[in-house]
Amino acid sequence: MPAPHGGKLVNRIDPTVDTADMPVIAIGRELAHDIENITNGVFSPLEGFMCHEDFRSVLDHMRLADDTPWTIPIVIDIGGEVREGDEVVLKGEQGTTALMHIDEVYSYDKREYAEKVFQTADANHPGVRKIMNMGDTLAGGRITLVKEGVEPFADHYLRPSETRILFREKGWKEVVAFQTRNVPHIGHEYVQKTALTFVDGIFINPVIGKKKSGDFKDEVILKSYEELLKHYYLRERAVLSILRTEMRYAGPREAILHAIARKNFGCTHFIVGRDHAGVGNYYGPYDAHDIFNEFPDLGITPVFFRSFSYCKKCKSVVNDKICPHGKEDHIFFSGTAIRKMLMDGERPPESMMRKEVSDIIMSYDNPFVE
Amino acid sequence: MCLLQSYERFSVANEKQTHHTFSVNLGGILIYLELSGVRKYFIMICNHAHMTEEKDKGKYTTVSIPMTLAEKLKKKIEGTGFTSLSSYVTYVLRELVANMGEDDEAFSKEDEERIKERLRALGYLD
Repeated sequence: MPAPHGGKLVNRIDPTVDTADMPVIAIGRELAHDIENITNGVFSPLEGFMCHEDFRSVLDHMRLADDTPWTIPIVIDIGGEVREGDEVVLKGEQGTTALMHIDEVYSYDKREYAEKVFQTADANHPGVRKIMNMGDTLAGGRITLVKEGVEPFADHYLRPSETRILFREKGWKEVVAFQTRNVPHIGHEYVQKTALTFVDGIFINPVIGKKKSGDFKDEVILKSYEELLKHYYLRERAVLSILRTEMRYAGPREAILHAIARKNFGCTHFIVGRDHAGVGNYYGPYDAHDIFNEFPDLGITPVFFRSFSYCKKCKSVVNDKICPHGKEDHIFFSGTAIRKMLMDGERPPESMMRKEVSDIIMSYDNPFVE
Repeated sequence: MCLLQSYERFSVANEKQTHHTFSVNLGGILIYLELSGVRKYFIMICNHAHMTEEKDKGKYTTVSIPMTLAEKLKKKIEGTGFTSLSSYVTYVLRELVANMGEDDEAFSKEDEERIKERLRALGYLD
């Protein structure tokens, strides 16, 4: 099992901290998720929201100030409400309560932030839009989680300390992680099972949290995966657990963040598909593959997959390395096409999606985020 | 070049005394080559920042290696995507440091039992 990123699994959860009489700052759900991910070790080695030195280093070099790989700033825009040296309570809508010591308050250039992380300042990009709506100053400092929020799908929520023990108890030495924000189609299953063939277990880890309009609802994703695993996976070889975090749509940079989080969960391998964490046409289809070349010290092995499809001549799922037949014989697993079929009330063919999965999706009046 | 081709062992040391001398801006990395026989070469990491942009001053250093080795490496990285010898050496050293590894986190007996109990209750463990 790999050592946690940066060498130590962060655990900054202390329910005994007394926060009475401290100033309270209300925060949104995404920040509450960041707090939980920092304090329970998903974002190890971060111990709090980034101070200026780390923020700058991440933007400029895709590394923390101490040279540890890190590609996305994890920041909080409450600089206008606090002063350096303050201790404040951050309180989320779902009850998440954390103590933050304000080490630093600093300003930043939103356009530069957007261009470096998302490779664009186009306000149509959801990540850019979010940055442009943030406050003008950031605050950095360590946080301690006093109380977890009450969130849906708690039965599917595992912390890195838990998955590390779970994998060890299962006897898994090599574990491949699969990140997803979609319902599973046959192509996903093919990728997962191909990777699983070479390791001991698979950790399927859907992202639960804010997504863009038109994406599948969290509940639909989770239920369809439960159904898929129940019928088509060996129970002793697959673990399904959620990751509460927002999609940032930062393409290649986000692929690295996703890999780091899975390393902290105890995974040795990470599946990177086509246009990982992409949106629109902002990134090249394999930019998220290429970026891994810059991180020989990441500590988790990427497993790259290119496009895959169903070949009518091979009568099986194939990829562009193994099938000699032409495009005319291929049915591509297009998420957009499957979404359109489902929107029109049409069941995708079983060569594209398991019947059990489409049953779940079609049982919802509206399975999509509005 | 001959000497370098004949080295038997390549290791990374974190020797306290030298570490102290050179580690101020480096995070304490010192590379130590032990060659066959008694000859030893140090790749010394000094504190120069002349090749960096103003904002990165103090974050980069110059590494001294034998010219023959530098020439050999320059040829080796031609057309590989590495833009300079520095970027290649940085890449190799980062890989080396990462592979030194660190022990996995140990959990207390109480924490481990509590976690296993939750895993069983959720159906993840039998």
